[in-house]
Amino acid sequence: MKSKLIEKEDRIRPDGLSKVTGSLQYLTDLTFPDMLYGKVLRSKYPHAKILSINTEKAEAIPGVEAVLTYKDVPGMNRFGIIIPDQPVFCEDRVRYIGDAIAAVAAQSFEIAEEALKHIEVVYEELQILDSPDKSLRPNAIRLHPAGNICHRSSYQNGDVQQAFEECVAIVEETYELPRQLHAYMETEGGVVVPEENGGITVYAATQHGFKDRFQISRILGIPESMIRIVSNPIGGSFGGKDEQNIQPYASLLALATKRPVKIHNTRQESIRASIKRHPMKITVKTGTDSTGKILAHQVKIIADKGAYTTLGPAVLDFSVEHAAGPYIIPNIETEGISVYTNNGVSGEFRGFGGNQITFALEGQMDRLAEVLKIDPIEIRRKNLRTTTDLGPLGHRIAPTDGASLVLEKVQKLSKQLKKDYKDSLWKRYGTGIAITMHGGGLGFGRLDSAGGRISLNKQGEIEISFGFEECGQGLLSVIENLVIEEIGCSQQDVKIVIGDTSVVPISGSSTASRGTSIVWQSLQKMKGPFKEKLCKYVSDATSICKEELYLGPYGIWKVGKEDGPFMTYKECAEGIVDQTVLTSFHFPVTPDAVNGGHFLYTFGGVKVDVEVDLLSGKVKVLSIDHVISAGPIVSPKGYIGQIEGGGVMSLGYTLLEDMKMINGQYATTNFDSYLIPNIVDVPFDTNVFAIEDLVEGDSYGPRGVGEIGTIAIIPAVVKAVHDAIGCWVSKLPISSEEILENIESKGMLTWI
Amino acid sequence: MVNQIEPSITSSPIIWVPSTIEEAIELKRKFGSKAEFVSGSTLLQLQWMNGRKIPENIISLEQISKLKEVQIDEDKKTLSIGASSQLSSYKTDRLLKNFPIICEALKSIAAPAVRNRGTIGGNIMGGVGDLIPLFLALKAKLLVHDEKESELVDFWEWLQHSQRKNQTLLSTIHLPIIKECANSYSFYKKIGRRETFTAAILTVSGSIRWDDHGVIEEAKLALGGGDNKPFLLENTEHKMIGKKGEEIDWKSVFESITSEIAPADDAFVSVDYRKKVAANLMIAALQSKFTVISNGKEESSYEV
Amino acid sequence: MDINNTVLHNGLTIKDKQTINLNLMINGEKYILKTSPTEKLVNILRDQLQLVGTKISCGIGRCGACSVLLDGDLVNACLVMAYQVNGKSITTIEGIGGVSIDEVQEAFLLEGGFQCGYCTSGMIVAVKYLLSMCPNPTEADIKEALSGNLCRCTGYGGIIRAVQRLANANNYSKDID
Ligand SMILES: Cc1cc2nc3c(=O)[nH]c(=O)nc-3n(C[C@H](O)[C@H](O)[C@H](O)COP(=O)(O)OP(=O)(O)OC[C@H]3O[C@@H](n4cnc5c(N)ncnc54)[C@H](O)[C@@H]3O)c2cc1C
Ligand code: FES
Ligand code: FES
Repeated sequence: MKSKLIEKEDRIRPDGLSKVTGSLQYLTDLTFPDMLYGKVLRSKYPHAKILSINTEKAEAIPGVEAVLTYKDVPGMNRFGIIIPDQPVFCEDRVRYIGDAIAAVAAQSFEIAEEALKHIEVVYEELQILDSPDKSLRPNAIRLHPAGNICHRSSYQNGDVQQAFEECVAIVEETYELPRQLHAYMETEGGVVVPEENGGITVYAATQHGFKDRFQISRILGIPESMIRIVSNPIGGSFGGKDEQNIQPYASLLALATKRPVKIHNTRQESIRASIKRHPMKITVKTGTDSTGKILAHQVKIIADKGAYTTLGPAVLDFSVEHAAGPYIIPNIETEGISVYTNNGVSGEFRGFGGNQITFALEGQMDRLAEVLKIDPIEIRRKNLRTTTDLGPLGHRIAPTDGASLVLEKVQKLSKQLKKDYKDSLWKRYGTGIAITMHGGGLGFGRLDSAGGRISLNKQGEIEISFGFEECGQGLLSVIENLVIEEIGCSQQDVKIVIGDTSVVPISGSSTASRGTSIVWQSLQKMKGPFKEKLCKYVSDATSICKEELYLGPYGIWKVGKEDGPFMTYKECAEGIVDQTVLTSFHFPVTPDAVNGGHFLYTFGGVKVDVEVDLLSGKVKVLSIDHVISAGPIVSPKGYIGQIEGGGVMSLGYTLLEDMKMINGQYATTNFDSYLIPNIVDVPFDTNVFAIEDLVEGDSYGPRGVGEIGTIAIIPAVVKAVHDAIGCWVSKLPISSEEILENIESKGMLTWI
Repeated sequence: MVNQIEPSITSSPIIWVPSTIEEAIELKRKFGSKAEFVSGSTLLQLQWMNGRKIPENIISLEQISKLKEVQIDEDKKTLSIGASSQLSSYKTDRLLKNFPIICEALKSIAAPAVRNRGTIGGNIMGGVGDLIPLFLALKAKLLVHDEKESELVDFWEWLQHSQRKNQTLLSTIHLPIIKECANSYSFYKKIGRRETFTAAILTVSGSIRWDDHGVIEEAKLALGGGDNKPFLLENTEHKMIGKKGEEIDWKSVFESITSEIAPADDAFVSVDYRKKVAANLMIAALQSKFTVISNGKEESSYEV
Repeated sequence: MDINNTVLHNGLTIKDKQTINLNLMINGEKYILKTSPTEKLVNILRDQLQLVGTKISCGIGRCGACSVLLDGDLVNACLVMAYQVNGKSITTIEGIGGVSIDEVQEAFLLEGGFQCGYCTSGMIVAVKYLLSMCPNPTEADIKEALSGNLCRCTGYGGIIRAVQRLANANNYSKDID
C-alpha cells in the first residue's frame, strides 16, 4: 500500500496561521467578564494526617470570594480515570506534596495566593514511604485501605527455570529509569463558566473531553448533560493532561461564586501537582544458546506509582506486554508490580511504559551480543518475529512484517558511515542501534470506543467531527488530509469540529496513538453512505442518475461535465434533509481474551552516533536516524514532527531529565534545574525514514505515530556510549559521573 | 471578622533612577539597607521570587551612562569594562570583540534574551556569576565606590576580605592587557548539566605566563560558577611556578587541585565529581598549551 | 539631585507608593498605563492589555515563551519590570507581520516549525531577532540564538528547517545583489 500523499506536502495545517501569528486563543488565554482567579492549596508534607483546617482568616481577606475544602464538595470527593482514589480535597490525610487541601477564588491571582498563606492547616507528620522498597516492607504503613500494592501484572509462557539450564550465555542486569516531566509548555489551566441552567462550561485542556465530563459530574453531583467541556486547543500534553488537574477546583469555585473562575498553574504549581512518567526498576535475566537464540527471559518490573492510581495499572500492563518486544522468546516470565508511595503521582506518558521496558530489553540484546561476540543486528535478527507470528502475549495480532523491514533498514544505515568521527585527545565516538514494537489503542478488555460524524452543514461545508483534541500532534491536518482524500472535496469545503462535548460524537481519548487510526477507519465506514446521501439528494432533485454523480471540489460533479460542480455543496445544503452519517465502533482489538493485548502494532528503529568527553564524562548525541513502520503517511510534516519531537523528548530522558524526589519532595521545581533538551542538544543531522508498506491485505490503514519515535532511541544512545568507551549504563539519565569513573578506571586519563 | 489582614502584596518599591555614580551613592547612603542597587535585575528577580525580600527602594543604575563604557588605556595597558555593560556586549562592543576569552565567557552565560538584560557588574556583584573565576584568573581590579571613598581594589583580595560588599557600587572592572601574547595563555571552561543555558556545575579559568625558556613565571587558576564559592587555587599555582611544562608532575597537580578546592554539592552533582572535572579541565587546558610550547620549540630547532 | 522629587530621571512619575504612570509603545501604538513599577511586562501584556499572543510557561527566564523585542532587542517579558520599559518600544508576536504574514511566520508554516504552538510566538520573535542581527545564520548561529527558547513538541527539527530556509533565501538574494 503506497500513499498518494506526497502532493499534500505543502498543505498548511488548519491551525497553522493562528499559531504563527499568535492569534490563537488557548484556554489559558481566555478571560470572561466578572472573572475570578483561583489558586489551590497543596500539602506541605508528603505524608501526614490533617488534624484541622481553618479557612477563616483567608476568607476575611478583601477580594477573596470563596474558600473551599472537602466540606464543600457536593458529589464524590474523588477522581481518577480507572479507580477514583485521589481526593479532590483531602479530608484527614495527605499522601504526597501535590495533594489539594483547599481552593480560593479571589479578585486576582495575587490575592488568591496571599489567601492560601492564611489557611491554617494543622498536620501530624507520618512516616514517608519514598520508594517502592519502603512501601513493600511488611510493617510499612498502609497508604490505601487495600495496602500498598496498586497493581500486579504478569505473563508466563514455557518454563524459564528449565530453559536457563540449557543456556550458553546468560546476562542479568537491573535497569533503573527516572521520573520524567511531560513539560508541555502550556501549564494546566483554563476557565470554568457557570451557566444559567445551573450547569457549567469547562474550558480546560484534556485528552478526553467526555471522560472529564463524567469525572466532573461525579464530583459536582450534577448530571453530565449540564456540563460542557471545551478542550481545544492545547499547548502540549503528551499524556500529562489526561487526568483531572485544575478542572475540579475551577468548577467547584465557579459554582460556589456563580462567577467564571480561571486557574492557570505556574510552572512550580504544575510540577508539584502533575502526573509524571513512572520511575521503574526492571531486573532482567536473559539466556541464549550459542548462536544467540534467546531461550529464556525473566523480567521483574517494579513501578513507583506515587500516591494515587490514575492510569498506572494500564501502564504496567503495557510494560509487561512489551517485555519481549518484537522477539519470539519460547520461555518467558514477566512479573510487574506497581507500588504506592508518597512520591508524586505517576501516570500516563507518551510511550506508556514501552520506553522503560524497551530500554531493558534492548539493553539485554546488546549485552548478550557482546558476550557472544555476535553483531548486535544479527542477534536481533535471529530472534525477530515474522509476519504471522503471535503477539508478545501469545495473542493474535494483525499480520505485520514491520519488525524485519525496520531492522533491515537500520542495518543499511549503520553500514553507511556518515561522518568519519576520529577519536581526538579528549573525545571518543560510538554508534548504537535499537529497535522496538509498540501497540496502538487501549488493548483487550478496555472500553475503547471509537467513532466520528460527517455531515453537510447549513453553510454548505462538509463538517467532520470527532471527540478528539488537538494537543499539537497535528490531528487537524490528519483529519483534513483524509477527508480531502476520501471524499474528494477541496480544502475550503472542509470544516472540522473537535474538542467540545456539546457538539462532538464519542471517539474515545486522544491517546495511545489512536487518533490517526480512528479518523481513517471512521472515514472508511462513513464515506460511502455520506456520498450516497448527497448523490441521492442531487439525483432526486434533478433526476440525473445517481451513478453519474460524484463528490468533488466545491460540490457534486457529473461525469462528463468537467468545468465545474453540477451542484455546489451550498446549493445542496439548502435542500437536503438527510445529510449526516455517524459511525461508532470498537478500536480493533485482538480476538484473544488477553488483558491489555493489542492488535495493531508499529515498529521503530534508531541509529545514533555519540561523542563522549573524557574530561567530564558528558555524552553528546551527534546524529539520529529514525526508521518507522506505521503504515502510510497521512500528513508528512506531522509524521516527521511526531518522530523527531518524540525522539528529542527521549533524548532528554536518556541524557538530562530526572524529576528527582528526595524525602517525597521534588528536588527541582522549574526549568532552571529540570533540564529538557534545548536546540543545542539536538543534532541537526537527524533523519526520519518511513516504511509505508503494510502487508498484503491489511485493511487497518495508517497507524498513529505519536509514541513510536520515543522508544528505541533510549537504548540506542546507551549502546553508542558503550561503543565509544566500553561501559554499560543501566541507570538513566546517563550519569556523567558514572561515565567519568569508568574513564578513570580504564586509565584513559594519564594523571589519575 | 475583626482581625482584617492587610495583604502584603500591594506594597511595591520606590524606583530611583540616578544618572551619576555620585547620586547613586548618595541614595544608598540615605536608605542604607532599605535600598538595593539594580542593574539588569535578572538575578534579583529570581531571588525575589525565591523569597528574598524586595527592598523598599530600588536604585536603578540603568541611566548612569558612565557605567556602560568599555575602554582601553594604552598607557596603563588595561581594559576597563563598565559594570552596566550587558552580557551581550561581546556581540556589539567593538573593543570587547578583540578579547576572545571574554567573549567566550559571556557567551556561556544564560541565553541571548537574558544576556540582553543582565550585566557584567551584576554577574560579579551577585556573587555566583560565571565571570568571577574568569576575572580572578585574569587578575582583575575593581573600581568600587561607597559613601566614604572610591578605590581600585584587587578583585581576589576584595572578594575575600571586604565586609561591605552590599554597600558598594561597582563601576568598572580593570583587566591588565598582556601584549606579548606568545608567552602567555589563558583559558575558560564552563560545564553544566546541559550543553548550554544552564547553571554551571563548575566554571574554571586560568592564566599562565612563562619566560623565554618556557619557565612558568605566573599562574592563576580559579574555580567558581553556580553554587561554587569563587576560589583561587593558590597552592596549586605555587606548585607550577618556576617549572617548565615538561617538569610538571600532572598527577600531583591533580592531587593538589582536588584537595585544594571545596566545590558545592546538590541533588544532582556530587562534590567528588566536581573536584575531578575541575582538575581534568584545568590539566587538559594547561597540557594542551604545553604540548604546543614544546612542539613549537622543536619546530624552531629544526629551523636553526 | 533632589531625591524627594517625584519626577524621576527617566520620566517616571510616582503616583503613590504603589503605582506609576507607564508610557510605552507596543507594536507601534502608544499606551499609558497605571501599574506597579515592578509589575512584569508579561503580565502587563497578557492581563492588562489582553495581548495573549505572548505566552508564559516558566516565569523565570528559562523557556523563552514570553520572548518579545524591547527596542529591537530580544528579552524575556517575564524578566522585565514595568519601570524598565518606560518610554520604550515593545514588539510582540502580534506586531510581527502586517497585512500579510512575515517571512518568518511563513517559513514556520511551510516547514512545520511548530506543533502545539505554545512556544511559537516566542520562537518566531527570537528568529526575527536572529535574522535582524545575522541574515544568513550558520548552524552555530542558530544554536546560539535559539538556545533560550524551549520547544517540547517539535524536537526543533521543523524550526531549524524554517530558519535554514530563510537563511538560504537571504543568501540567495545576497548573491543576486
Ligand atoms: C534565566 C537565567 C539564566 C541565568 N544564567 C546564568 C548563567 O548561566 N551564568 C551566570 O553567571 N549567571 C546566570 N544568571 C544570573 C544573572 O542573570 C547574571 O549573573 C547577570 O549577569 C546578573 O546581572 P544583572 O544586571 O541582571 O544583575 P542584577 O540582578 O541587577 O543584580 C545582581 C546583584 O548585583 C548587585 N549589583 C548589580 N549591579 C551592581 C553594581 N554596578 N554595583 C554594585 N552592585 C550591583 C545587585 O544589587 C544584586 O545584588 C542567569 C539568570 C537568569 C534569569
Ligand atoms: S515565561 Fe518567560 S522565559 Fe519562560
Ligand atoms: S510547538 Fe509545542 S512547545 Fe513548541
